[in-house]
Amino acid sequence: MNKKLPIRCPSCESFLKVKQLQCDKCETEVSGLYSLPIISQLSIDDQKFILDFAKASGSLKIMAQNMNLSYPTVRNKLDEIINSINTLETNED
Amino acid sequence: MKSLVFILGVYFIFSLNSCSQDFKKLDNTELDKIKLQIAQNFAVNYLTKLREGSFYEFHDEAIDALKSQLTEQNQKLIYHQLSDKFGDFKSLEYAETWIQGNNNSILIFRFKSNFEKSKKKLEVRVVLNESGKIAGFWIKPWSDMLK
Amino acid sequence: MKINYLYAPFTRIAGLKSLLIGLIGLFITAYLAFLTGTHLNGLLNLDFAKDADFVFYLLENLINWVSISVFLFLSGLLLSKSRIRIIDIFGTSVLSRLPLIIAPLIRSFPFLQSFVFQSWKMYLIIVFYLVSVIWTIILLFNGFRISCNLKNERLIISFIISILFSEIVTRMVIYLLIFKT
Repeated sequence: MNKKLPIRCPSCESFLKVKQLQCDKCETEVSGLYSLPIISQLSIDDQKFILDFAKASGSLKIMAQNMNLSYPTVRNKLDEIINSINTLETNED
Repeated sequence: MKSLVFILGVYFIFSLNSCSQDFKKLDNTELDKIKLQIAQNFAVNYLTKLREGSFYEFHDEAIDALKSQLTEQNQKLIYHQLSDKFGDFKSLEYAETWIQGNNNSILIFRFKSNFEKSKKKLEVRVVLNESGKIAGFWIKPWSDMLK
Repeated sequence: MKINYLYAPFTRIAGLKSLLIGLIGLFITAYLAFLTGTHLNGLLNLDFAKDADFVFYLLENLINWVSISVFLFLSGLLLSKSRIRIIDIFGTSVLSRLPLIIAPLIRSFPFLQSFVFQSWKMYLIIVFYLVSVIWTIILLFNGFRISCNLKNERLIISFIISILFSEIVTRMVIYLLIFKT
């Protein structure tokens, strides 16, 4: 089963932070309060888009072909993600 | 409610149709070729004379009301306005004939004509009354609709 | 992604592909318009007259398409923050014109070739024409929205202004075209 990383608090909708990390091999635990990287705060779809975009060497044309969508539709999706990233960055500051 | 709308719709369509049922388009087989020739010769002669700087002299081929309207001065004035906008008359070709009136006595002959400056054809319309006299004459932009 | 091909095919088709399909459609529409004497003098103007050569009917369609595209492109350049492509605007605009084939197609029926003004035949053609124009406007709107990535008031107002300006320009150019220079 592919577990989904929760990003927002189910109670108040605020962004969640990382409190504890664990080494899978030696079971060392690190405790603290870390913010999630911005890319992890994006939706799963947006994260997948960014990964696919990187794999397509940043070509929207190739992305459009792979997704079977038109070029402007893919470009608009990228613009939406850029907006989300900018908003997240502003919130972090 | 729906059936009322339908009945009103049908009534509307029939009432529109009644406006137009005075007119009927003639097939080529029903056409009076002699009357067509009269109408066509008149239109060509009229426009050719005016193109050459002259004017059309009416005899007994037209009704008096038309003759009194289309005096030499009026003919030249109308042609001048026409040629200013569309250029000189070049040619015309027969397009269609309609009949009007309850006993189908009025014939409307429609010709398409070429003028030098216009890329669109103009309508030349000649109307013959029940006694075969020219009762109307128009030049206007061509329309497939009879207006 | 759910795609409505009737109203918003541009999620899948835009750019060169829509330009080519649309241009083929425009030529067929213009040829049918020539055969049936259906002048498409802009989006909101219809005339019934077999009174010109094929080139004239073709130019009417081309002029209207180009003027709509130019005004939509200028609106996009002014208002959009995205990097818009001219080929998407011209491509989606020409593909949006496909429904305009309906009026000339309907007039292919011999009984709708010539008729009396204000007769039921005239109104029948006008009803079909209005349906085709509304359909085209919806397609144009969706094409513009996707090509320029505009939203809300900016999208609606700039679209209406572009269409109105293009109508004025189309009519002026066609009027000049009627008279040989």
